Amino acid sequence: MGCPSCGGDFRIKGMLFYFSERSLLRKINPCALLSTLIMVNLISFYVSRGVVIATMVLMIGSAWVSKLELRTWRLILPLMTGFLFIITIGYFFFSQISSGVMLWKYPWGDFVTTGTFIAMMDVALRYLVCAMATVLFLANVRESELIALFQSLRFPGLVLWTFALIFRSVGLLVSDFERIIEVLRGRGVGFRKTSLPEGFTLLRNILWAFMVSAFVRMDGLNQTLYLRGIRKPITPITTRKLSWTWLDIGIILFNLLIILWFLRN
Amino acid sequence: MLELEDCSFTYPSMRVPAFRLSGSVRWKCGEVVVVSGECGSGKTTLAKLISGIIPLFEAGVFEGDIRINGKLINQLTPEERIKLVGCVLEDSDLHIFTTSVWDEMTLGSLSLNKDAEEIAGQSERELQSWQLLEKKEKHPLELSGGERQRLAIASIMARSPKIMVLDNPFSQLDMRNRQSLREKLIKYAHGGNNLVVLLLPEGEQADFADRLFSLEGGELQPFRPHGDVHSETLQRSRNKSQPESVVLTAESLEFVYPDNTKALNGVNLEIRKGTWVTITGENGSGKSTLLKILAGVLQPQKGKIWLNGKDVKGWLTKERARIMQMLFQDINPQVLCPTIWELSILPSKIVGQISDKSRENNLKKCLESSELYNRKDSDPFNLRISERQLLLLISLLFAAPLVLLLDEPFSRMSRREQEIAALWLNEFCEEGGTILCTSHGGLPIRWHDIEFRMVDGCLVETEMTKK
Ligand SMILES: Nc1ncnc2c1ncn2[C@@H]1O[C@H](COP(=O)(O)OP(=O)(O)O)[C@@H](O)[C@H]1O
Ligand SMILES: [Mg+2]
Repeated sequence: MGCPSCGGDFRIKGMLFYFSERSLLRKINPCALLSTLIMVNLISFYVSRGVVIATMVLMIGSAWVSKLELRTWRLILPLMTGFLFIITIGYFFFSQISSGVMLWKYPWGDFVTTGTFIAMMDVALRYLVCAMATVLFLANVRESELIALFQSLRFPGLVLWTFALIFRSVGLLVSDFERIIEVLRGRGVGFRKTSLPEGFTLLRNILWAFMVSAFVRMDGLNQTLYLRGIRKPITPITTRKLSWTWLDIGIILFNLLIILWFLRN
Repeated sequence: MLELEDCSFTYPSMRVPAFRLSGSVRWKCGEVVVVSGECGSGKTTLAKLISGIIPLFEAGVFEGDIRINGKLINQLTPEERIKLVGCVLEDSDLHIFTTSVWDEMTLGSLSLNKDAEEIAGQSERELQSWQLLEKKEKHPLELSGGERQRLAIASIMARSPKIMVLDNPFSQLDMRNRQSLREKLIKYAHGGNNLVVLLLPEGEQADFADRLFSLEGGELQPFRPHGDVHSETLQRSRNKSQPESVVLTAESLEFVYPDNTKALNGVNLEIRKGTWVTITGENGSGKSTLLKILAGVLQPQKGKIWLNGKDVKGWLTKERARIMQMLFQDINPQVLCPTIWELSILPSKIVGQISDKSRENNLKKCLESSELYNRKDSDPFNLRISERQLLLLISLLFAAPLVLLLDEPFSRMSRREQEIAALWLNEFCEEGGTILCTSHGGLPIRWHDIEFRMVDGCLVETEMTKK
């Protein structure tokens, strides 16, 4: 769908990120994407390093074709960095990998060898692949499609509604949070140069505003559902239907085969 | 058909009833009923009573009878009742539940046992008629204020309830959309033999109604026309002094939202000190976007802004906020503190204004004249939305910036509140402050010196400016 005022390339706000409706990954059914995600997450810890690197290259390629903005990666950068940090600490101080040349020993018995570094990089790489796959997935599906997917898989109403409530309220709360940050910026809060006490008051204000908005939203939620005549587990949630192509079915079968093969070994 | 008889409703925290009716009224299907009243006169309470939000979600003491189609309301289950009554409340932002316009629109019809194809077809047609079809994949919170209000109404009307209750549904709409909503409601009532109950603030056009009532201090009564002060535009008499220096300049601003909506298309603006400038324009023409860019909340892709003759590029947000403060159109995200008092001093605290006795006295006076001072330790969310807007305005004035950017500052306020606010703003201007405010039109206050019009992301001069 195009919109006249934006030159045809309409971007849509997904769960966390904006994505382009023209992206190639958007042509694939969310169900197929989900199966791919599961497959990648499962196998990335079992296959050889070469395959992991190949997967990574493949994913960077698909990020390219899905016109994912660099901004998207920036959003998850802190999370990823934190994760890699934990891995590094864990391997550096609390591991006993005996391959390679012994470098030093700690009083508590753990030690570091050249093999430690290799193992560390290896694990980090695998986690990175998982994280990238998840981001790619999240960046190309919207929550109503996921719900439509679960609905078409005939999940029971209660599960569906729980999913819908979580997805949608998280989406709304994130938007609310963005609006609060906007307001604070307009009021003169610079998020870069703040002194500690200022930062503290700031944090308090943000937390308060966020809590209140979450509370007010949740309060509004029940009324909304009532006003639209929705009875929680009974009413269907979405009219969206997934479109299927042979490509999707092919992808799913392929993923299933790989998953089964790995589970057997 | 809706019948009310000897009703009264009292909130737990209040001693006097918020809504009261002695005698009875019968509103028949096929009618448009308008109930007009000041803010706080009990309109929202009436809407909640009819729709069943009271007593389902809000407690209080209710006495009397309400009948829908001859049946007492407590004989109806909530499901039966909400099938008959559609209700759009004033603070409709809080009633968004989904993350796209399309899902929001279809949401109401899902419980009507129609099949998906039928709902999809109908929703498509409805969105078209509300001029929202091309925005159907947008997030509802990404719509402009007026578009969001239309969506809220459309999604409830799609359920085709026999009784439709709308609380101040025109507040964010421009003239064209007001007219089309009026026509839609008349058609819905007369053509579909439904009852439309409209709760409007005083001064809002109501001549299309079949029956008119007013609410005064919670009491529902047949309509009595007020003095004609209300029908005419308030004019400010100002003695123009010699031209002052330019405080705010913007040059060829362009802005595209992350979803590729082009909101600004080369805006040039020059504002002199001590003037009050109003930007009018239709819903979605880019007024709010422009103010957000001037306030530094959004970064324009192209263009430059000068404040006091200096390029703002590279300024700290705080420096900018010391000179310029902004009132946003969406009220709720601005409520950042647990008490009214804290909220009213927050902006000045953030920019590091030293508060002295005389300024604090001024603040107290403002709070007192809007009856907020005696509630200063209570939660701002207990206030009506118009009072929240007034409170935010007070807090910005207390921060004493040179320029105030106000996004639809009067849209939620009643006539009296508008007058109070306009007086303060006038004083602010007289003391050398500069105001840039937006309006979707339809507001009775014209105290500005200069008026621009925004059309599809461009500013054009109006008659008044040329003079
Ligand atoms: N956060 C946003 N993301 C994407 N598009 C937006 C956003 N906010 C507003 N828009 C779009 O930009 C245009 C201008 O909106 P806005 O400046 O709010 O209009 P106005 O205030 O004049 O009613 C509208 O088409 C609106 O749908
Ligand atoms: Mg606006």
